[in-house]
Amino acid sequence: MPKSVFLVGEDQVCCALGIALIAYSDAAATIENSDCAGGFGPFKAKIEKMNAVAANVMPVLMIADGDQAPTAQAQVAAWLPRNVAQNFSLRLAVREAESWVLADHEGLSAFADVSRAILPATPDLIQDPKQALLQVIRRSSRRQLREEMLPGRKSTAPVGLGYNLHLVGFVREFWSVERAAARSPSLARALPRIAAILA
Amino acid sequence: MLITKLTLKNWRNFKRLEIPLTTRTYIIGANATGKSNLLDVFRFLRDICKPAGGGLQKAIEDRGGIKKLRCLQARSDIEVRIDIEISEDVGEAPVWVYSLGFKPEGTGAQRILVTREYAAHGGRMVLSRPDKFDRADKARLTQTALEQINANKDFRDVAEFFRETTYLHLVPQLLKFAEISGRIMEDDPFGQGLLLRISKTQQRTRDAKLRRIQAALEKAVPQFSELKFELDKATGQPHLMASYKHWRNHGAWQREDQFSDGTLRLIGLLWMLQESNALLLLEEPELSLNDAIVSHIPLMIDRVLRRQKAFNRQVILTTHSEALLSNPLDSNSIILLESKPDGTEARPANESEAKLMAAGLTPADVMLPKARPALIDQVGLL
Repeated sequence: MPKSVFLVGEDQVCCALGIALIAYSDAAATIENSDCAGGFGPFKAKIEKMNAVAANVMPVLMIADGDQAPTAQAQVAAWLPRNVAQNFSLRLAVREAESWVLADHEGLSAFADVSRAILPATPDLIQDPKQALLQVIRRSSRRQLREEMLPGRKSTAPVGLGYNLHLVGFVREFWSVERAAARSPSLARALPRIAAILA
Repeated sequence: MLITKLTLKNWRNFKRLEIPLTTRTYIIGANATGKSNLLDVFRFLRDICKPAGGGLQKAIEDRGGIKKLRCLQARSDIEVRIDIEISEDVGEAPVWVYSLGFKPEGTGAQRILVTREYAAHGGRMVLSRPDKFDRADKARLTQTALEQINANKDFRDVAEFFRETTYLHLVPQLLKFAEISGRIMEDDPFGQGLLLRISKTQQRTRDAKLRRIQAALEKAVPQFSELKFELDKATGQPHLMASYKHWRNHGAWQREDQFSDGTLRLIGLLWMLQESNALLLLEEPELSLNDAIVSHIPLMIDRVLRRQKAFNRQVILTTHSEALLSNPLDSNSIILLESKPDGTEARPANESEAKLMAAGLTPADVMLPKARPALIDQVGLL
Protein backbone atom coordinates (compact mmCIF):
# COMPACT_ATOMS: atom_id res chain seq x y z
CA MET A 1 0.00 0.00 0.00
CA PRO A 2 1.41 3.42 -0.87
CA LYS A 3 2.43 5.53 2.04
CA SER A 4 0.34 8.61 2.90
CA VAL A 5 1.90 11.97 3.53
CA PHE A 6 0.56 15.27 4.84
CA LEU A 7 1.70 18.37 2.97
CA VAL A 8 1.50 21.93 4.31
CA GLY A 9 2.58 24.88 2.21
CA GLU A 10 2.83 28.49 3.30
CA ASP A 11 0.81 29.43 0.23
CA GLN A 12 -0.56 27.85 -2.95
CA VAL A 13 2.81 28.03 -4.69
CA CYS A 14 4.59 26.25 -1.84
CA CYS A 15 1.85 23.60 -1.92
CA ALA A 16 2.32 23.08 -5.66
CA LEU A 17 6.09 22.81 -5.15
CA GLY A 18 5.51 20.23 -2.41
CA ILE A 19 3.32 18.13 -4.68
CA ALA A 20 6.03 18.22 -7.37
CA LEU A 21 8.74 17.28 -4.85
CA ILE A 22 6.77 14.33 -3.50
CA ALA A 23 6.08 13.12 -7.03
CA TYR A 24 9.80 13.42 -7.83
CA SER A 25 10.88 11.44 -4.76
CA ASP A 26 9.72 8.31 -6.57
CA ALA A 27 8.37 6.89 -3.35
CA ALA A 28 4.92 5.42 -3.85
CA ALA A 29 3.35 8.06 -1.64
CA THR A 30 -0.12 9.52 -1.88
CA ILE A 31 -0.82 12.97 -0.55
CA GLU A 32 -3.48 12.32 2.02
CA ASN A 33 -4.00 15.94 2.71
CA SER A 34 -2.54 19.18 1.53
CA ASP A 35 -3.12 22.48 3.15
CA CYS A 36 -2.28 26.03 2.13
CA ALA A 37 -1.71 27.79 5.42
CA GLY A 38 -2.32 31.32 4.11
CA GLY A 39 0.86 33.15 5.07
CA PHE A 40 3.71 32.50 7.45
CA GLY A 41 1.67 33.26 10.59
CA PRO A 42 -0.85 30.42 10.27
CA PHE A 43 1.93 28.25 8.84
CA LYS A 44 4.14 28.74 11.87
CA ALA A 45 1.21 28.12 14.18
CA LYS A 46 0.72 24.71 12.59
CA ILE A 47 4.29 23.46 13.07
CA GLU A 48 3.77 22.07 16.57
CA LYS A 49 0.58 20.21 15.59
CA MET A 50 2.14 18.85 12.42
CA ASN A 51 5.09 17.53 14.39
CA ALA A 52 2.62 15.55 16.49
CA VAL A 53 1.00 14.25 13.31
CA ALA A 54 4.43 13.18 12.05
CA ALA A 55 5.18 11.39 15.32
CA ASN A 56 1.87 9.53 15.48
CA VAL A 57 0.08 9.39 12.16
CA MET A 58 1.94 9.96 8.91
CA PRO A 59 4.99 11.72 7.50
CA VAL A 60 4.68 15.49 7.19
CA LEU A 61 6.29 17.81 4.69
CA MET A 62 6.06 21.53 5.36
CA ILE A 63 7.29 24.10 2.85
CA ALA A 64 7.65 27.83 3.38
CA ASP A 65 9.61 30.87 2.26
CA GLY A 66 12.86 31.40 4.12
CA ASP A 67 12.55 35.15 4.24
CA GLN A 68 11.55 35.63 7.87
CA ALA A 69 15.09 35.54 9.32
CA PRO A 70 18.55 36.66 8.09
CA THR A 71 19.31 33.10 6.98
CA ALA A 72 17.12 30.10 6.33
CA GLN A 73 19.12 28.08 8.88
CA ALA A 74 18.36 30.66 11.58
CA GLN A 75 14.69 30.55 10.67
CA VAL A 76 14.51 26.75 10.80
CA ALA A 77 16.25 26.79 14.16
CA ALA A 78 13.72 29.30 15.50
CA TRP A 79 10.70 27.51 14.08
CA LEU A 80 11.44 23.83 14.74
CA PRO A 81 9.75 22.29 17.74
CA ARG A 82 11.81 20.79 20.57
CA ASN A 83 11.46 17.11 19.77
CA VAL A 84 11.44 16.85 16.03
CA ALA A 85 9.71 13.67 14.91
CA GLN A 86 11.56 11.31 12.62
CA ASN A 87 8.99 11.72 9.89
CA PHE A 88 8.78 15.50 10.04
CA SER A 89 10.42 17.71 7.46
CA LEU A 90 10.31 21.49 7.34
CA ARG A 91 11.90 22.85 4.17
CA LEU A 92 12.49 26.50 3.45
CA ALA A 93 13.19 27.88 0.01
CA VAL A 94 16.12 30.28 0.13
CA ARG A 95 14.82 33.00 0.16
CA GLU A 96 11.35 32.52 -1.30
CA ALA A 97 9.53 29.86 -3.29
CA GLU A 98 10.24 32.05 -6.30
CA SER A 99 13.95 31.17 -6.00
CA TRP A 100 13.12 27.54 -6.73
CA VAL A 101 10.88 28.66 -9.58
CA LEU A 102 13.65 30.80 -11.09
CA ALA A 103 16.08 27.90 -10.83
CA ASP A 104 14.50 25.97 -13.70
CA HIS A 105 15.69 28.03 -16.65
CA GLU A 106 14.41 25.72 -19.33
CA GLY A 107 10.92 25.45 -17.86
CA LEU A 108 10.57 29.14 -17.05
CA SER A 109 11.76 30.28 -20.45
CA ALA A 110 9.23 27.96 -22.09
CA PHE A 111 6.43 29.10 -19.76
CA ALA A 112 7.00 32.85 -20.02
CA ASP A 113 8.39 32.75 -23.54
CA VAL A 114 11.54 34.66 -22.58
CA SER A 115 15.19 34.18 -23.40
CA ARG A 116 17.15 32.03 -20.94
CA ALA A 117 19.87 34.67 -20.98
CA ILE A 118 17.81 37.01 -18.78
CA LEU A 119 17.29 34.44 -16.00
CA PRO A 120 19.50 34.69 -12.90
CA ALA A 121 22.36 32.17 -12.70
CA THR A 122 22.28 31.71 -8.92
CA PRO A 123 18.69 32.22 -7.75
CA ASP A 124 19.47 31.26 -4.12
CA LEU A 125 21.66 34.35 -3.80
CA ILE A 126 19.02 36.85 -4.95
CA GLN A 127 17.75 39.04 -2.12
CA ASP A 128 14.28 39.59 -3.58
CA PRO A 129 13.37 36.68 -5.84
CA LYS A 130 9.78 37.85 -6.20
CA GLN A 131 10.92 41.09 -7.81
CA ALA A 132 13.37 39.15 -9.97
CA LEU A 133 10.56 36.92 -11.18
CA LEU A 134 8.33 39.93 -11.86
CA GLN A 135 11.15 41.42 -13.94
CA VAL A 136 11.23 38.24 -16.00
CA ILE A 137 7.45 38.33 -16.46
CA ARG A 138 7.63 41.97 -17.53
CA ARG A 139 9.64 40.80 -20.53
CA SER A 140 7.34 37.89 -21.29
CA SER A 141 5.69 37.85 -24.69
CA ARG A 142 2.62 36.17 -23.19
CA ARG A 143 0.22 39.01 -22.72
CA GLN A 144 -2.02 37.27 -20.21
CA LEU A 145 0.93 36.71 -17.88
CA ARG A 146 1.87 40.38 -18.03
CA GLU A 147 -1.73 41.46 -17.47
CA GLU A 148 -2.48 39.14 -14.59
CA MET A 149 0.83 38.51 -12.80
CA LEU A 150 2.11 42.08 -12.71
CA PRO A 151 0.40 44.65 -10.49
CA GLY A 152 -1.98 46.96 -12.36
CA ARG A 153 -0.92 50.32 -13.69
CA LYS A 154 -2.07 52.29 -10.67
CA SER A 155 -2.26 49.49 -8.14
CA THR A 156 -0.27 49.56 -4.90
CA ALA A 157 -0.34 45.75 -4.64
CA PRO A 158 3.05 44.02 -4.98
CA VAL A 159 1.76 41.49 -7.51
CA GLY A 160 -1.19 41.06 -9.86
CA LEU A 161 -4.40 39.19 -9.04
CA GLY A 162 -3.41 36.15 -11.11
CA TYR A 163 0.14 35.87 -9.75
CA ASN A 164 -0.37 32.76 -7.63
CA LEU A 165 -2.69 31.13 -10.12
CA HIS A 166 -0.18 31.34 -12.98
CA LEU A 167 2.73 30.38 -10.78
CA VAL A 168 0.91 27.27 -9.61
CA GLY A 169 0.17 26.48 -13.26
CA PHE A 170 3.84 26.85 -14.06
CA VAL A 171 4.92 24.52 -11.26
CA ARG A 172 2.38 21.92 -12.34
CA GLU A 173 3.10 21.95 -16.04
CA PHE A 174 6.60 23.25 -16.68
CA TRP A 175 8.74 23.01 -13.57
CA SER A 176 11.30 20.24 -13.36
CA VAL A 177 12.68 19.35 -9.92
CA GLU A 178 15.82 17.95 -11.46
CA ARG A 179 16.70 21.02 -13.51
CA ALA A 180 15.86 23.37 -10.64
CA ALA A 181 17.91 21.39 -8.11
CA ALA A 182 20.97 21.68 -10.33
CA ARG A 183 20.86 25.45 -9.90
CA SER A 184 19.48 25.79 -6.38
CA PRO A 185 21.54 24.28 -3.53
CA SER A 186 18.68 24.79 -1.05
CA LEU A 187 16.41 22.67 -3.24
CA ALA A 188 19.13 20.07 -3.78
CA ARG A 189 19.51 19.77 0.02
CA ALA A 190 15.75 19.27 0.41
CA LEU A 191 15.52 16.28 -1.93
CA PRO A 192 17.31 13.57 0.11
CA ARG A 193 15.46 14.64 3.26
CA ILE A 194 12.09 14.35 1.56
CA ALA A 195 13.05 10.95 0.15
CA ALA A 196 14.04 9.90 3.69
CA ILE A 197 10.68 10.71 5.32
CA LEU A 198 8.83 8.90 2.55
CA ALA A 199 11.04 5.81 2.56
CA MET B 1 -16.36 57.24 -17.08
CA LEU B 2 -16.29 56.34 -13.43
CA ILE B 3 -17.20 57.89 -10.11
CA THR B 4 -13.95 58.92 -8.46
CA LYS B 5 -15.27 60.67 -5.40
CA LEU B 6 -18.38 60.42 -3.26
CA THR B 7 -19.30 62.85 -0.52
CA LEU B 8 -22.40 62.38 1.61
CA LYS B 9 -24.13 64.24 4.35
CA ASN B 10 -26.87 62.71 6.51
CA TRP B 11 -27.37 59.75 4.16
CA ARG B 12 -28.69 56.82 6.23
CA ASN B 13 -25.84 55.61 8.50
CA PHE B 14 -23.50 58.33 7.36
CA LYS B 15 -23.62 61.73 8.96
CA ARG B 16 -20.56 62.69 6.97
CA LEU B 17 -18.72 60.63 4.39
CA GLU B 18 -16.02 61.42 1.89
CA ILE B 19 -14.37 58.59 -0.01
CA PRO B 20 -12.35 58.13 -3.18
CA LEU B 21 -13.47 55.38 -5.57
CA THR B 22 -11.51 53.50 -8.22
CA THR B 23 -12.41 51.00 -10.94
CA ARG B 24 -12.88 48.29 -8.32
CA THR B 25 -14.02 49.11 -4.82
CA TYR B 26 -14.45 46.61 -2.01
CA ILE B 27 -16.62 47.83 0.84
CA ILE B 28 -16.05 46.02 4.11
CA GLY B 29 -17.50 46.49 7.57
CA ALA B 30 -19.33 44.71 10.38
CA ASN B 31 -23.03 43.93 10.03
CA ALA B 32 -25.31 46.98 10.07
CA THR B 33 -22.51 49.46 9.46
CA GLY B 34 -24.14 50.52 6.20
CA LYS B 35 -22.50 48.62 3.36
CA SER B 36 -25.76 48.21 1.48
CA ASN B 37 -26.81 51.73 2.39
CA LEU B 38 -23.68 53.00 0.75
CA LEU B 39 -24.49 51.09 -2.45
CA ASP B 40 -28.00 52.48 -2.17
CA VAL B 41 -26.78 56.01 -2.95
CA PHE B 42 -26.03 54.94 -6.50
CA ARG B 43 -29.36 53.15 -6.79
CA PHE B 44 -31.05 56.29 -5.45
CA LEU B 45 -29.46 58.43 -8.16
CA ARG B 46 -30.47 55.85 -10.72
CA ASP B 47 -34.04 55.89 -9.44
CA ILE B 48 -34.17 59.67 -9.81
CA CYS B 49 -33.07 59.38 -13.45
CA LYS B 50 -35.38 56.55 -14.46
CA PRO B 51 -37.28 57.60 -17.57
CA ALA B 52 -40.44 55.78 -16.47
CA GLY B 53 -41.67 56.38 -12.96
CA GLY B 54 -38.51 57.98 -11.68
CA GLY B 55 -37.91 61.26 -9.95
CA LEU B 56 -36.76 62.51 -6.60
CA GLN B 57 -40.10 62.21 -4.78
CA LYS B 58 -40.62 58.63 -5.91
CA ALA B 59 -37.06 57.64 -5.06
CA ILE B 60 -37.50 59.00 -1.53
CA GLU B 61 -40.94 57.46 -1.12
CA ASP B 62 -39.65 54.05 -2.26
CA ARG B 63 -37.20 54.19 0.61
CA GLY B 64 -39.93 54.81 3.17
CA GLY B 65 -39.75 58.60 3.17
CA ILE B 66 -37.15 61.10 4.25
CA LYS B 67 -37.24 59.96 7.87
CA LYS B 68 -35.99 56.51 6.97
CA LEU B 69 -33.44 57.87 4.59
CA ARG B 70 -31.92 60.59 6.70
CA CYS B 71 -29.17 59.83 9.18
CA LEU B 72 -30.48 59.33 12.73
CA GLN B 73 -27.63 61.43 14.00
CA ALA B 74 -28.72 64.45 11.94
CA ARG B 75 -29.92 66.99 14.50
CA SER B 76 -29.67 70.70 13.76
CA ASP B 77 -28.69 70.33 10.12
CA ILE B 78 -31.27 68.08 8.48
CA GLU B 79 -30.33 68.50 4.82
CA VAL B 80 -29.36 65.32 2.95
CA ARG B 81 -26.54 65.97 0.49
CA ILE B 82 -24.93 63.82 -2.19
CA ASP B 83 -21.87 65.09 -4.07
CA ILE B 84 -20.36 63.10 -6.88
CA GLU B 85 -17.31 63.54 -9.06
CA ILE B 86 -17.07 61.63 -12.32
CA SER B 87 -13.77 61.29 -14.21
CA GLU B 88 -12.64 59.61 -17.38
CA ASP B 89 -10.03 57.62 -15.48
CA VAL B 90 -8.65 57.11 -11.98
CA GLY B 91 -6.41 59.96 -10.86
CA GLU B 92 -7.72 62.38 -13.48
CA ALA B 93 -9.50 65.66 -12.79
CA PRO B 94 -13.29 65.24 -12.75
CA VAL B 95 -15.13 65.75 -16.04
CA TRP B 96 -18.43 66.10 -14.25
CA VAL B 97 -19.36 67.27 -10.81
CA TYR B 98 -22.92 66.77 -9.62
CA SER B 99 -24.33 67.74 -6.29
CA LEU B 100 -27.82 67.31 -4.86
CA GLY B 101 -29.21 68.48 -1.51
CA PHE B 102 -32.76 68.19 -0.22
CA LYS B 103 -34.80 68.42 2.96
CA PRO B 104 -38.41 68.68 4.12
CA GLU B 105 -40.06 72.03 3.72
CA GLY B 106 -40.39 72.57 7.47
CA THR B 107 -44.04 73.69 7.32
CA GLY B 108 -47.36 72.64 5.86
CA ALA B 109 -47.35 69.44 3.85
CA GLN B 110 -43.64 68.90 4.55
CA ARG B 111 -42.88 68.51 0.89
CA ILE B 112 -39.34 67.46 0.13
CA LEU B 113 -37.60 70.38 -1.55
CA VAL B 114 -34.31 70.57 -3.37
CA THR B 115 -32.02 72.82 -1.35
CA ARG B 116 -29.16 72.71 -3.82
CA GLU B 117 -28.55 71.21 -7.20
CA TYR B 118 -25.32 71.88 -8.97
CA ALA B 119 -23.59 70.49 -12.04
CA ALA B 120 -20.28 71.38 -13.63
CA HIS B 121 -18.57 70.12 -16.75
CA GLY B 122 -14.78 70.38 -16.94
CA GLY B 123 -14.80 72.93 -14.12
CA ARG B 124 -17.47 75.09 -15.78
CA MET B 125 -20.78 75.44 -13.98
CA VAL B 126 -23.75 74.30 -16.08
CA LEU B 127 -26.45 74.26 -13.42
CA SER B 128 -26.93 75.94 -10.10
CA ARG B 129 -30.15 75.86 -8.18
CA PRO B 130 -32.17 77.31 -6.56
CA ASP B 131 -32.25 79.99 -9.29
CA LYS B 132 -34.60 82.96 -9.70
CA PHE B 133 -37.34 80.79 -11.23
CA ASP B 134 -37.22 78.44 -8.26
CA ARG B 135 -37.47 81.35 -5.88
CA ALA B 136 -40.50 82.61 -7.77
CA ASP B 137 -42.19 79.20 -7.85
CA LYS B 138 -41.33 76.94 -4.93
CA ALA B 139 -43.10 73.93 -6.42
CA ARG B 140 -40.28 73.66 -8.93
CA LEU B 141 -38.04 72.59 -6.09
CA THR B 142 -39.95 69.33 -5.66
CA GLN B 143 -38.18 68.07 -8.77
CA THR B 144 -34.55 67.81 -9.66
CA ALA B 145 -33.24 69.10 -12.96
CA LEU B 146 -31.53 65.73 -13.26
CA GLU B 147 -34.85 63.92 -13.75
CA GLN B 148 -36.16 66.33 -16.40
CA ILE B 149 -35.16 66.02 -20.02
CA ASN B 150 -35.65 69.74 -20.65
CA ALA B 151 -33.63 70.81 -17.66
CA ASN B 152 -30.76 68.33 -17.84
CA LYS B 153 -29.82 69.19 -21.42
CA ASP B 154 -26.40 70.51 -20.45
CA PHE B 155 -25.50 67.55 -18.26
CA ARG B 156 -27.50 64.71 -19.75
CA ASP B 157 -24.41 62.50 -19.77
CA VAL B 158 -24.58 62.51 -15.99
CA ALA B 159 -28.23 61.46 -15.97
CA GLU B 160 -27.50 58.70 -18.45
CA PHE B 161 -24.51 57.56 -16.45
CA PHE B 162 -26.62 57.21 -13.30
CA ARG B 163 -29.48 55.55 -15.15
CA GLU B 164 -27.28 52.77 -16.50
CA THR B 165 -26.20 51.62 -13.03
CA THR B 166 -26.86 47.93 -12.40
CA TYR B 167 -27.31 46.33 -9.00
CA LEU B 168 -27.25 42.61 -8.33
CA HIS B 169 -28.02 40.66 -5.22
CA LEU B 170 -29.19 37.42 -6.75
CA VAL B 171 -31.40 35.39 -4.45
CA PRO B 172 -31.35 31.87 -5.91
CA GLN B 173 -34.58 30.82 -4.17
CA LEU B 174 -36.54 33.49 -6.02
CA LEU B 175 -35.41 31.99 -9.31
CA LYS B 176 -36.02 28.43 -8.22
CA PHE B 177 -39.41 28.95 -6.62
CA ALA B 178 -41.25 31.35 -8.87
CA GLU B 179 -44.33 30.99 -6.67
CA ILE B 180 -42.65 32.78 -3.71
CA SER B 181 -43.15 36.08 -5.40
CA GLY B 182 -44.90 36.52 -8.70
CA ARG B 183 -43.87 40.14 -8.90
CA ILE B 184 -40.45 41.15 -10.16
CA MET B 185 -39.38 44.43 -8.59
CA GLU B 186 -38.43 47.28 -10.85
CA ASP B 187 -34.82 46.91 -12.01
CA ASP B 188 -34.84 43.36 -10.76
CA PRO B 189 -32.35 43.75 -7.91
CA PHE B 190 -32.69 40.13 -6.80
CA GLY B 191 -32.09 38.53 -10.17
CA GLN B 192 -35.57 37.00 -10.60
CA GLY B 193 -35.69 38.36 -14.11
CA LEU B 194 -32.32 36.91 -15.05
CA LEU B 195 -33.87 34.41 -17.43
CA LEU B 196 -35.92 37.13 -19.04
CA ARG B 197 -32.82 39.26 -19.51
CA ILE B 198 -31.02 36.34 -21.09
CA SER B 199 -34.04 35.64 -23.25
CA LYS B 200 -34.22 39.23 -24.51
CA THR B 201 -30.61 39.21 -25.64
CA GLN B 202 -29.96 38.71 -29.32
CA GLN B 203 -29.22 35.08 -30.04
CA ARG B 204 -25.63 35.44 -31.23
CA THR B 205 -24.64 37.68 -28.34
CA ARG B 206 -26.45 35.38 -25.96
CA ASP B 207 -24.67 32.30 -27.22
CA ALA B 208 -21.29 34.01 -26.95
CA LYS B 209 -21.97 35.12 -23.39
CA LEU B 210 -23.28 31.72 -22.32
CA ARG B 211 -20.21 30.08 -23.85
CA ARG B 212 -17.99 32.22 -21.64
CA ILE B 213 -20.07 31.41 -18.59
CA GLN B 214 -19.88 27.73 -19.50
CA ALA B 215 -16.10 27.93 -19.70
CA ALA B 216 -15.96 29.37 -16.19
CA LEU B 217 -18.46 26.87 -14.78
CA GLU B 218 -16.58 23.93 -16.25
CA LYS B 219 -13.71 24.84 -13.97
CA ALA B 220 -15.70 25.87 -10.92
CA VAL B 221 -18.45 23.26 -10.74
CA PRO B 222 -17.46 19.59 -10.60
CA GLN B 223 -18.95 17.40 -13.37
CA PHE B 224 -20.47 20.39 -15.09
CA SER B 225 -20.25 20.08 -18.85
CA GLU B 226 -22.63 22.26 -20.84
CA LEU B 227 -24.91 25.25 -20.46
CA LYS B 228 -27.65 26.17 -22.90
CA PHE B 229 -30.67 28.38 -23.20
CA GLU B 230 -34.06 26.98 -24.09
CA LEU B 231 -37.63 28.15 -24.52
CA ASP B 232 -40.15 25.74 -23.10
CA LYS B 233 -42.17 24.43 -26.04
CA ALA B 234 -45.44 24.30 -24.13
CA THR B 235 -45.34 27.50 -22.06
CA GLY B 236 -42.84 29.65 -23.94
CA GLN B 237 -40.99 30.25 -20.67
CA PRO B 238 -37.23 30.80 -20.95
CA HIS B 239 -34.99 28.31 -19.16
CA LEU B 240 -31.35 27.59 -18.62
CA MET B 241 -30.30 24.00 -18.99
CA ALA B 242 -27.08 22.51 -17.72
CA SER B 243 -25.70 19.11 -18.43
CA TYR B 244 -23.61 17.20 -15.95
CA LYS B 245 -21.24 14.38 -16.74
CA HIS B 246 -22.95 11.25 -15.73
CA TRP B 247 -22.78 7.51 -16.07
CA ARG B 248 -25.23 7.81 -18.93
CA ASN B 249 -23.62 8.57 -22.27
CA HIS B 250 -25.38 11.85 -22.78
CA GLY B 251 -25.16 13.07 -19.23
CA ALA B 252 -28.10 14.51 -17.38
CA TRP B 253 -29.82 17.79 -18.25
CA GLN B 254 -31.07 19.93 -15.42
CA ARG B 255 -33.17 23.06 -15.40
CA GLU B 256 -32.27 26.19 -13.43
CA ASP B 257 -34.62 25.21 -10.60
CA GLN B 258 -32.36 22.23 -9.96
CA PHE B 259 -29.10 24.18 -10.11
CA SER B 260 -27.25 24.67 -6.87
CA ASP B 261 -27.50 28.10 -5.24
CA GLY B 262 -23.84 28.70 -5.92
CA THR B 263 -24.12 27.78 -9.60
CA LEU B 264 -27.04 30.18 -10.02
CA ARG B 265 -25.25 33.02 -8.28
CA LEU B 266 -22.17 32.45 -10.37
CA ILE B 267 -24.21 32.47 -13.57
CA GLY B 268 -25.92 35.69 -12.46
CA LEU B 269 -22.62 37.34 -11.64
CA LEU B 270 -20.97 36.33 -14.90
CA TRP B 271 -23.99 37.40 -16.93
CA MET B 272 -24.24 40.83 -15.31
CA LEU B 273 -20.53 41.43 -15.78
CA GLN B 274 -21.03 40.97 -19.49
CA GLU B 275 -24.28 42.85 -19.82
CA SER B 276 -23.30 46.50 -19.97
CA ASN B 277 -20.36 48.77 -19.33
CA ALA B 278 -21.97 50.93 -16.69
CA LEU B 279 -21.42 51.03 -12.94
CA LEU B 280 -22.06 47.59 -11.42
CA LEU B 281 -23.01 47.15 -7.77
CA LEU B 282 -22.59 43.68 -6.32
CA GLU B 283 -23.92 42.69 -2.93
CA GLU B 284 -21.76 40.03 -1.26
CA PRO B 285 -20.88 38.03 -4.38
CA GLU B 286 -19.32 35.35 -2.15
CA LEU B 287 -22.65 34.01 -0.87
CA SER B 288 -23.25 30.27 -1.43
CA LEU B 289 -19.88 29.87 -3.10
CA ASN B 290 -16.98 27.70 -2.06
CA ASP B 291 -14.00 29.68 -0.75
CA ALA B 292 -11.81 28.33 -3.53
CA ILE B 293 -14.10 30.01 -6.07
CA VAL B 294 -14.58 33.14 -3.98
CA SER B 295 -10.84 33.70 -3.86
CA HIS B 296 -10.88 33.98 -7.64
CA ILE B 297 -13.77 36.48 -7.87
CA PRO B 298 -11.54 39.58 -8.22
CA LEU B 299 -9.51 37.95 -11.00
CA MET B 300 -12.68 36.60 -12.61
CA ILE B 301 -14.17 40.12 -12.72
CA ASP B 302 -10.96 41.42 -14.32
CA ARG B 303 -10.85 38.63 -16.87
CA VAL B 304 -14.46 38.96 -17.98
CA LEU B 305 -14.21 42.73 -18.28
CA ARG B 306 -10.89 42.56 -20.08
CA ARG B 307 -12.40 40.19 -22.61
CA GLN B 308 -15.32 42.59 -23.00
CA LYS B 309 -12.80 45.36 -23.64
CA ALA B 310 -14.37 47.08 -20.66
CA PHE B 311 -11.58 46.74 -18.14
CA ASN B 312 -12.27 50.21 -16.79
CA ARG B 313 -15.89 49.40 -15.99
CA GLN B 314 -16.53 50.41 -12.41
CA VAL B 315 -17.50 47.66 -9.99
CA ILE B 316 -18.36 48.36 -6.37
CA LEU B 317 -18.95 45.36 -4.15
CA THR B 318 -19.66 44.69 -0.52
CA THR B 319 -18.07 41.70 1.13
CA HIS B 320 -17.34 39.88 4.38
CA SER B 321 -15.22 37.26 2.73
CA GLU B 322 -11.74 36.52 3.95
CA ALA B 323 -11.06 34.41 0.84
CA LEU B 324 -11.99 37.27 -1.46
CA LEU B 325 -9.87 39.75 0.49
CA SER B 326 -6.87 37.40 0.61
CA ASN B 327 -5.99 38.61 -2.87
CA PRO B 328 -3.27 41.15 -3.63
CA LEU B 329 -5.80 43.98 -4.04
CA ASP B 330 -4.88 47.60 -4.59
CA SER B 331 -4.93 49.25 -1.15
CA ASN B 332 -6.84 52.19 -2.67
CA SER B 333 -9.68 49.90 -3.61
CA ILE B 334 -10.77 49.10 -0.05
CA ILE B 335 -13.23 51.13 1.94
CA LEU B 336 -13.62 50.24 5.60
CA LEU B 337 -16.84 51.14 7.42
CA GLU B 338 -16.61 51.59 11.18
CA SER B 339 -19.59 52.23 13.40
CA LYS B 340 -19.11 55.27 15.67
CA PRO B 341 -21.48 57.03 18.08
CA ASP B 342 -21.93 59.80 15.52
CA GLY B 343 -22.80 57.54 12.59
CA THR B 344 -20.69 55.24 10.51
CA GLU B 345 -17.31 56.44 9.38
CA ALA B 346 -15.93 55.29 6.06
CA ARG B 347 -12.30 55.45 5.14
CA PRO B 348 -9.78 53.99 2.72
CA ALA B 349 -6.62 52.32 4.04
CA ASN B 350 -4.41 54.72 5.99
CA GLU B 351 -0.72 55.16 5.35
CA SER B 352 0.52 52.38 7.61
CA GLU B 353 -2.15 49.95 6.37
CA ALA B 354 -1.20 50.76 2.77
CA LYS B 355 2.46 50.09 3.60
CA LEU B 356 1.59 46.73 5.16
CA MET B 357 -0.29 45.71 2.03
CA ALA B 358 2.48 46.95 -0.29
CA ALA B 359 4.83 44.72 1.74
CA GLY B 360 2.79 41.69 0.77
CA LEU B 361 0.11 41.35 3.46
CA THR B 362 -3.40 41.06 2.06
CA PRO B 363 -6.46 43.14 2.94
CA ALA B 364 -7.71 40.06 4.81
CA ASP B 365 -4.69 40.39 7.13
CA VAL B 366 -4.70 44.15 7.47
CA MET B 367 -8.23 45.53 6.97
CA LEU B 368 -10.65 42.71 7.71
CA PRO B 369 -9.78 42.38 11.44
CA LYS B 370 -10.85 46.01 11.80
CA ALA B 371 -14.26 45.19 10.37
CA ARG B 372 -14.95 42.79 13.23
CA PRO B 373 -17.51 44.09 15.70
CA ALA B 374 -15.75 45.05 18.93
CA LEU B 375 -17.83 42.87 21.25
CA ILE B 376 -18.21 39.84 19.03
CA ASP B 377 -16.11 37.63 21.26
CA GLN B 378 -18.81 37.89 23.90
CA VAL B 379 -21.59 36.60 21.65
CA GLY B 380 -20.84 33.09 22.82
CA LEU B 381 -21.44 34.18 26.41
CA LEU B 382 -25.11 35.01 25.90
